[in-house]
Amino acid sequence: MCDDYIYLDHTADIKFKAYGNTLEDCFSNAAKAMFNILVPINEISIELNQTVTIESDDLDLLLYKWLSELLYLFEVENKLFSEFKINISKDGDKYTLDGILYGESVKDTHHINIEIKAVTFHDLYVKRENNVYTCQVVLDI
Amino acid sequence: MNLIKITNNIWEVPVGYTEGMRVPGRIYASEKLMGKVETDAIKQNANVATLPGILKYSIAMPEIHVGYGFPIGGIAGLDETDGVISPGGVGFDINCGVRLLATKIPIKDLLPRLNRLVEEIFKEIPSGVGSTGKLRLDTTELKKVFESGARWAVSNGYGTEKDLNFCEENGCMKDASPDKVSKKAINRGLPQLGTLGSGNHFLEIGCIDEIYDPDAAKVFGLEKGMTTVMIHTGSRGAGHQICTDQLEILVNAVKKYGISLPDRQLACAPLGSKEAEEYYGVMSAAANYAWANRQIITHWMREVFNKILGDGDLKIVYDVAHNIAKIEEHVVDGKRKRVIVHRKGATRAFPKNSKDIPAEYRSIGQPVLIPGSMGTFSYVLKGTDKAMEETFGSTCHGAGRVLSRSSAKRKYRGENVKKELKDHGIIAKAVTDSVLAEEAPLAYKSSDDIVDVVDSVGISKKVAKIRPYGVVKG
Repeated sequence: MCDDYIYLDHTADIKFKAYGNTLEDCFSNAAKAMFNILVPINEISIELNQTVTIESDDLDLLLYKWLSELLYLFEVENKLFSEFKINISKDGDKYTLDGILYGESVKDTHHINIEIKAVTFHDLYVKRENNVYTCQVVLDI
Repeated sequence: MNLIKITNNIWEVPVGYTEGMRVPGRIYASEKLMGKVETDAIKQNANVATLPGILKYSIAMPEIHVGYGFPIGGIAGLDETDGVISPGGVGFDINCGVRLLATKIPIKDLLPRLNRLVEEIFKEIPSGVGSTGKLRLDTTELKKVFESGARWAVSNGYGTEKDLNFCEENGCMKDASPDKVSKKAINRGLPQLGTLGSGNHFLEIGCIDEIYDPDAAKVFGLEKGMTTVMIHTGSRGAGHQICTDQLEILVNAVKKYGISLPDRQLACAPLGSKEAEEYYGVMSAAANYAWANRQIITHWMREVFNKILGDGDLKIVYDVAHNIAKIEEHVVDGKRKRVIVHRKGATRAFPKNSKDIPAEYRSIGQPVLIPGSMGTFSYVLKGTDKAMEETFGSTCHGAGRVLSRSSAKRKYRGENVKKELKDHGIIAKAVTDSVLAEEAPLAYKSSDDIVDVVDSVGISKKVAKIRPYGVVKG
């Protein structure tokens, strides 16, 4: 596998796929793909960290909630993240994602490329093929 | 499966194009525009036809392009008795819409000061990614915004009572439920009231360039050569978060009510259910936020005009929502029914004598505002009886993209776009030049072609054309 994530052409919005050998890597790469749209990911330093917990009984919904939460933290708390340590556990039907997010507050030196309005459910999926997890996401911009 | 050509400008997407279609699709487009429609957009039009309770057709306007859930330019009327409501038919930018202001100042008198005017607008009206406003509200006050929309703004000194008369719904959906708006949506909404945002949102100084229907233009108060201001923005982060919250609830509702959907972005709930009531209530709250937003921006625009030109008398011609779902009465198969009409990148186009339009316009029909892409013509149309018969009183909303933002950026450079616009006598001002590349005029279908289709079919009729002179982009 060459890339952690790739962007696909979409007329009105932004579409990407993210990959990982584990579900956690796949979710982490999806988060990187999203932040990289806001600011080149190598321009996000690690100065702070915070934890999040996301729960859902549906893996697609878990991904949607995960990225939506990160977008909210960017919008409201003005934080950018570039590294993610996450653990996804399953208890019965319920998935729980425990994550530590590493990044920094938005600074004057950051130029935010584009406004992401939201994570959509359109064409969204998480699947495992040939031992690789792949997810696809369309962001409304 | 091939589409069926019904007339020169109407194409049918036959039942069976996608599994589970309850009605056919209908795309209003010329042969030329049809050639540019993506297969995925047609598939999305077909997907909408699978929604429970859909009436007549899944309708698409000439600017149809791929969205999420509904295509952009999509319209669906669903039966109140057995239909559903879906945020996929409204979008994240709830009540993204357009407001047109007009002043008696002739454009020729304004042009020498256009540069200063554009600079001042850029300075006074916050724009750009994540732009935050000059207002400082608390949660209690924000809930009043969600409750009463443009009226909140007028009550707080932003504009006059008369302004409300010239907004769709008088700038307020009365079924809003502010108490159901999440804490997250409130947090996103608090700093952004009175901001333009970014992307395709804009403020534009223009001029009435051509009149097609002198009687209607007179009633709308439009004269050739007069200056206009167009405001295109929506409910900002508050609306985006409200839709985000609701989508999760409705994805679960789909399972609960056993609804089968081809795209989860079409997540929905049966009308009358707890989930549908909640969505309609908070969507209405977001719509109200958007009306307050455009009202506040109007007020600041008047202040800028007053400061630079000594005349801040900007009258509202009309204010329309082009991303919204509303309960309306329509005649279907000869019977009057209550229908939940979803307009996702489509504009209401109610005809003359409609009780839902300002009394001043009832001899003509409502003004329909169709913004062009940056640097191209915009149009004022009027609503028609034909729209009531065919498209649930709806028409097109704008230009519609043909090139993705990244392709546009690869193809055009911001500074070149700016220069080209300048060569055509248009001043463009944006936070960054890259947004000018993304929004380059050629990244969009021509608004002329789109408007010609709806005019020719008769679901709205051309009244006037507006030429742009100054654009502020977020």
